Amino acid sequence: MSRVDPSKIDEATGETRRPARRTTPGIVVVCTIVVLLTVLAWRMVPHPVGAARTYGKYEGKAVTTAKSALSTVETVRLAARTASAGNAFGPYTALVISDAEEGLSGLQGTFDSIQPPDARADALAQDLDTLLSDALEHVRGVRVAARRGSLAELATVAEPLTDDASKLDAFDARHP
Amino acid sequence: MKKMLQITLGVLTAIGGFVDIGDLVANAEVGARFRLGLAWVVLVGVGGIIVYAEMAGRVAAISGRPVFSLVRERLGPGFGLANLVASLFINFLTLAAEIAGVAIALAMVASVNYILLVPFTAVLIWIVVWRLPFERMEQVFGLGGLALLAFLFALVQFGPDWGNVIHQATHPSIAKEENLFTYAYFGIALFGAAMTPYEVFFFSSGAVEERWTRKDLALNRANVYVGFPLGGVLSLSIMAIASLVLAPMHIGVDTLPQVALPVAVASGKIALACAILGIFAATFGAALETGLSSGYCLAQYFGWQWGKYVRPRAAARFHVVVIVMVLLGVLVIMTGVDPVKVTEYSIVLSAAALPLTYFPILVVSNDPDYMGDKTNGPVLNFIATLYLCLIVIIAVATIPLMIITKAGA
Repeated sequence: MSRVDPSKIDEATGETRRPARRTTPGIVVVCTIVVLLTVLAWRMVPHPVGAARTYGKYEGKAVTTAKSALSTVETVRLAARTASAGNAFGPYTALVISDAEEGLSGLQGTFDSIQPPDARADALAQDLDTLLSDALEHVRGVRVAARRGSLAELATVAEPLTDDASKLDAFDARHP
Repeated sequence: MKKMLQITLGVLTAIGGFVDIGDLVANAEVGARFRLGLAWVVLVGVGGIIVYAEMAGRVAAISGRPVFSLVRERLGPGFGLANLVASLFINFLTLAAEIAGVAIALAMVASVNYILLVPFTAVLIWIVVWRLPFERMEQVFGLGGLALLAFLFALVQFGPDWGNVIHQATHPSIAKEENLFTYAYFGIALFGAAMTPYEVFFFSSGAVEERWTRKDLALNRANVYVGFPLGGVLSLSIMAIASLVLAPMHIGVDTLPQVALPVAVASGKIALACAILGIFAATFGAALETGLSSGYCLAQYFGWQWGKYVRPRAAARFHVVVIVMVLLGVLVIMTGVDPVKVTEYSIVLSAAALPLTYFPILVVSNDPDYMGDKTNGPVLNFIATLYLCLIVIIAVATIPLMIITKAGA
């Protein structure tokens, strides 16, 4: 078959195009796509931690938050150790830690926005909020040091995060 | 050397398809959460995209027309419209995320907030689409994406227990912190990432851009059999190094910079720099792929002149579509939406829309009116039909799983 110039399709084929076949499923598929778009719009709202009507559900949200916070704290610790060992450069390290700080702040804000269902949940909220606040303060310190280029001391600055990680891990263990 | 460079279309397609921003984060996240329990899905996905990309390339080489333009003709304007709407929507989401991905890659070396780099990135993408010849674009960004081999290097240098690594990869299991639903959800995400529709549209349109003919069928196979497995290797490397470095520390991955952290831990600054270069090239390549794919789909559906092989003035509407998509993508990212979430949703939604893309390819590649004596053989049809059945099952399961697992949370 000779080479076809795509800009001259009809001339090249030398015959009229075959009439397009009607397919009624096309409308069904378009409607399905509209439904999918609606689901997407709903799911795109960044609220992974929804309302909690019972202590059990609230405790579950708290554990999810604590696990995510632990991941963030460990990320900062790892980045700090890696930079102090001379294996990462400043702008990259600062970005990883800034992202972690933003994530941790977001976690705390999201968790604080959930209404505790009862007095027992109030105590749980206070407990976790203290852990998150401490972790956030220490991550901020690491971020400041990273942005100032103090990479060699970063592991030292990040030492308080070891305790924060242990406490978050213990919180998770206390609330299975 | 020239023959080696001829496979860069397949390499670029695979780089943009397998390791765009969403796939980079998804592969690392899967490695951190499931270790290598989902590695088999990447292999299945590579097999699927090889089968269908080879068909798409063959259709383009024999008929001289890309797949999308034949879908409307062969299956009707209704089906073609559904395919167009789904493809444009997914391309748009992915393009927006890739623009952010390029800006984030630049921010990793520039100490500037990535939002400030987004407009600069958009201009750069437009300049490349407008001025750089198609083959040069393939070579630069396809080969640049190979810097992601830094992940494979880091994996080797980390010195894992290879017996354990292979055991994990060959004995799929669900981590005790996870459940069957999240396992299935991420499995679908990985499969959808391997078989994103814009890959085949870009590949077949690229084949026409490069003026492939019947004589290039061997080249088509070379592109497919080298490019896509390479993408699979990169995906598995990212997953494996994350499983070794991040999983033991219970670190989840939800940002692009975190993806490169295991490389820094295992191999130091130079490997990290290569990884960042690879991330830049891969996300840039994916931005080009999705931007051009949007232009290809729309222009081919309406019968407009399209392509980089003609002067921009001759394909004005095609270039306007690409520019508008880039501009809209910039606007979305400038709202501050999380680009990783955007692309992760687009991956999963593309899994839901896969039948719209791959069913027509199977139909057209079996049509002797278009393919002459180069229709599919019985073995290929059998394999392709199996994959199509799998694609339909995945498409049906995607949205319910997204709702049940709250998008994998």
